[in-house]
Amino acid sequence: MKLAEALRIVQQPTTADAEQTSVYLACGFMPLHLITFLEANLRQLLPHKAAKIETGIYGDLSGNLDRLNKGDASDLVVVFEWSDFDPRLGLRSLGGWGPESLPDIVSDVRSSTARFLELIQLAAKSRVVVVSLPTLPLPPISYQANEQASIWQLQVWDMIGGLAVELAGIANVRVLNRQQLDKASPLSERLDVKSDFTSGFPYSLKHASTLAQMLATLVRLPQPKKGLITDLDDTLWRGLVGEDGVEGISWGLDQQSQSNALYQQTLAALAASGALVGVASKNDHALVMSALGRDDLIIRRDDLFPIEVSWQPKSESVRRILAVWNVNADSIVFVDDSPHEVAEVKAAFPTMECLVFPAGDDQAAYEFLEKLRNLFAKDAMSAEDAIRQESIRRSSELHDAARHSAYSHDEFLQNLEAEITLTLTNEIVDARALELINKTNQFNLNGRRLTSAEFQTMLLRPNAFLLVTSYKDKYGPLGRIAVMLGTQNEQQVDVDVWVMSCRAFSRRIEHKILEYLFDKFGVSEINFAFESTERNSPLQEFFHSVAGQVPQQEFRIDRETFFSNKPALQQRVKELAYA
Amino acid sequence: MPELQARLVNCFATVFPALDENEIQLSSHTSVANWDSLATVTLVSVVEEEFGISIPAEDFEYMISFDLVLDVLKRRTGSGS
Repeated sequence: MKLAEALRIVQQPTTADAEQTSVYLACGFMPLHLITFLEANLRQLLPHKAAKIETGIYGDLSGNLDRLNKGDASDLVVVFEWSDFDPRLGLRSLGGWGPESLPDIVSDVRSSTARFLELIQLAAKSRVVVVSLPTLPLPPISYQANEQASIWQLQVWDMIGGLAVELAGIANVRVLNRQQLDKASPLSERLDVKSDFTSGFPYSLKHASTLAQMLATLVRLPQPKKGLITDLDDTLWRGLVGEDGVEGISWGLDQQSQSNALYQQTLAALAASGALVGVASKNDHALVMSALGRDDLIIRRDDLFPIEVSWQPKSESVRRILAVWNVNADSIVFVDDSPHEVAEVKAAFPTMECLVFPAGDDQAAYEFLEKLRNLFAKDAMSAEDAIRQESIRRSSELHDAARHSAYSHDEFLQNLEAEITLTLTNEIVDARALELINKTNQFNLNGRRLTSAEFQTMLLRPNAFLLVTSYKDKYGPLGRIAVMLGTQNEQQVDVDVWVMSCRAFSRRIEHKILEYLFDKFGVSEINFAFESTERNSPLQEFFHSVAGQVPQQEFRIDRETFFSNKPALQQRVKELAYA
Repeated sequence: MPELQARLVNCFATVFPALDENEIQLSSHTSVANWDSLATVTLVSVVEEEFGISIPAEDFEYMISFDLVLDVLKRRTGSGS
């Protein structure tokens, strides 16, 4: 992005209903154009929010962090440069680069890293903190040749590396990936000496633009895709199983098909990280099952579910897989080596990310894997990630069993041996609650997305509560599947946020949650900050069933109406904690 | 309006969006309230980016009106008459 373009973006007025969101940019140098680029990138990433950048005092990074820790809970971006660790490592200081200064510089860097670590640890307790460690080249402090790494430089880099490792291990802290920055912004093109001298802003415009784009992405990480549907022939493996036979298809170095092997390895890693992986193939079913039964397959056969093999259009297979997963097309990636098939699926599902697997081009295939990994990138793993594929499979089995059961639906649910665990608290226990709020569409009270700072602020309100629901039955655990956020007083409960994973539908968990709420708080009414969205029809249907009406906006359910309309609920309830 | 001048007007419009084309060509740091040192730095960066040139720091102090910025620009791009 050019500076002129960034300026035009930040000058555009925001809409009257745009929600204010502020990001605090902490750095020791004059932030100047970095503010503009960061705000412009955040505006593009968050078109419905009025993003504002706040900054502290020029030249006082420690003080700015300290002041922020005593103030509000804005998300924080910390951009370090060498002079923050010792002014002699900047170009605006003349403290000396002689050999006698070097041990002292190293000593200062050591104490600075310890101080910054402490300040960021404190800041990360209530907000997301994005950290960029020094990106500029070290100045020529060494008496040795430029080609020779001096012990002083190595010690300084080592301490910064150690700081990065410590920071990356702190919840809520996101450290900018140096490797990715190196690819996008060559080291030799980052420093602008004239700008540093004249204004105190040390970055070239190109570097500032690239850095700001990465920082903004880290502040507002895109929602990871939920699932991937893959083709088989010349994609998961090299060759056509119908032509080459089960033993004729290949993946691996020896068969010049290492890219297919790496693709399998990537899919296995995605599955282990909680992504759903399904198969859509135009093939003979028996042949495919035989091929997937090969014991040298890199991805586990059980990681692939469902496997749709037929001679129908691919979009039909994709449609069936989406129904089993119960997810929207825009959260799914479709991969096929045939541009024709990709176009056919894209036409049927315009919001789906449809990618052509670059068969036969190993360099392009590697770059494809990098892109794929990024589409599923997430900040942290949760326990639910490990059981998602399995719980989808069990859920599908459950619905099949219900369809074929001789029992009524009530009797079927009664035999599930369901147990609901309700954790009532007013503190953020871990990242799972926020993850659910920000990725759930169908059973979502109003579609509201929250930053970690906004989440924290809502919980700090008087009488605020957070209700996290977990579920298991004889088919296995679903993990934490629902989150409610609200406030309560003697008369009523006000619910601002309520989401439930689509994996948990049809078990009457939502009914049990409301029953619990009425009983736990002893209130006569529950007030919901409902808003209709394009996708929350499952929630609307639920409200219709228990309140007798589809709400148009904020509405109340009273105890008498709910208890007279709710069906029989058989789940056992376990309460975990109340803070 | 010559092309160089028109492009410079666009640069000014990016930095001082409240000014119209005529006001821009008459503008100076005394007539535009928010033309401070930071605005000068931003203006220099936008001009450098637009014209692919580097303006030396010693020229900054002369860049206090549209006409003077245009003079600097003509010198640095070799477009002076």
